[in-house]
Amino acid sequence: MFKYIAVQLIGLTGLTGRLAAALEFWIYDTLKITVILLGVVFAVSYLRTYLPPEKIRDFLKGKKAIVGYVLAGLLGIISPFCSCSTVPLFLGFVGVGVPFGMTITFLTVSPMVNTAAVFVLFGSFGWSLTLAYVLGGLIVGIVGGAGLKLLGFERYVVDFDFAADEEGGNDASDKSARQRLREAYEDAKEIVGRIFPYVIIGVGLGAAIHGFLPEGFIQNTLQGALAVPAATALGIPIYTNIMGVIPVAESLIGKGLPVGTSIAFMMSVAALSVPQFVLLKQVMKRNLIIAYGGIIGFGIMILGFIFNLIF
Amino acid sequence: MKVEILGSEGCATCEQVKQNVQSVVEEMGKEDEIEVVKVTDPSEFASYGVMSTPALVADGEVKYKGTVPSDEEIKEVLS
Repeated sequence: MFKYIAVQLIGLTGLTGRLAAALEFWIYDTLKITVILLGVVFAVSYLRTYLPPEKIRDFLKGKKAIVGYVLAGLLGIISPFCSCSTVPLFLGFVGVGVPFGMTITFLTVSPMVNTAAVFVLFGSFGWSLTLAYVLGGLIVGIVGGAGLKLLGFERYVVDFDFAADEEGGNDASDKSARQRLREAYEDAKEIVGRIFPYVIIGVGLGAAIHGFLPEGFIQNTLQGALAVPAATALGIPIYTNIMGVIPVAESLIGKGLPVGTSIAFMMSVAALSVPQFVLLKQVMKRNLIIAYGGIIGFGIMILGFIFNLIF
Repeated sequence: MKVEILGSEGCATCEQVKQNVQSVVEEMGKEDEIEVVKVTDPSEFASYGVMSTPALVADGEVKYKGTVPSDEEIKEVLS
């Protein structure tokens, strides 16, 4: 349907060739992502009024090893949060006894795989790639969390006090539907407002690649064994939302960039970023941040290589 | 009364709550009685047991967390 609208609009302008292709991509992707964002984000925000972080924390508190890690990853998928909440969440989780490794898993998976992104991925890449991305993100998060725990990095968490028994504030269970709707609306408005600029930039970049990058350019330059590590490294300084990088990856894959390399790039952009590390410095000592970046980056690269072999 | 708004740097909704609180305070004409402070240090959030921002704390008691309270709700806290 969005394709039809885009094609019709381009037809009206009378444009042809590369500019038309770029414009069509831009209109199509902007429409598609905006509609999905509005719908999914609102729905998830509403459901999330039933699942505040306090509840997620209680779910994870007593869990043992593998079940806990998988649960932490799954909860990460359904709970989007602003990167500015990473530190308070980390303190809150660890402070009341959620195992350190599961906390890391939750915080790693959440920016990489979230509900709205899953829908956009599905719309752009089809189900097999979406499934691969979701499972891959879960595995990287779980291996990262469990790995840091097993290697004993917990001791590099900065000391702090958390008032565990504070029962103040709005309770999740006693809200009216109207209150939930209002909260969901506020939440969705904030999330969409925060993400939208990244989407516009991402789609614009994707459109430019789609329309103007010569066929064969990628085959000639971005191949070989170093492509995946390079894509992963390139993702670190780039700070954007996962929704902003999907359209870029979409058109790169369309131009022949291998799937695994593209996924490694997407994951690295979402999960590893310099501003995130700066924030984490408030609660983690340097060794832990380096190990965190290292283990997640390594996981993403392995995944990229495997996906390049499969797809 | 001392009202604290807990919110990290770069959290847009937290800034919005602060502005909402300030405008409600002005509307009520209580600028002299109510002190509005923004707290950005996460370890202070932890000492209140708060892990989702924005949070609204009045005289050391957490009133709202992880949500933007409506003007009516803010008024109730302040009165």
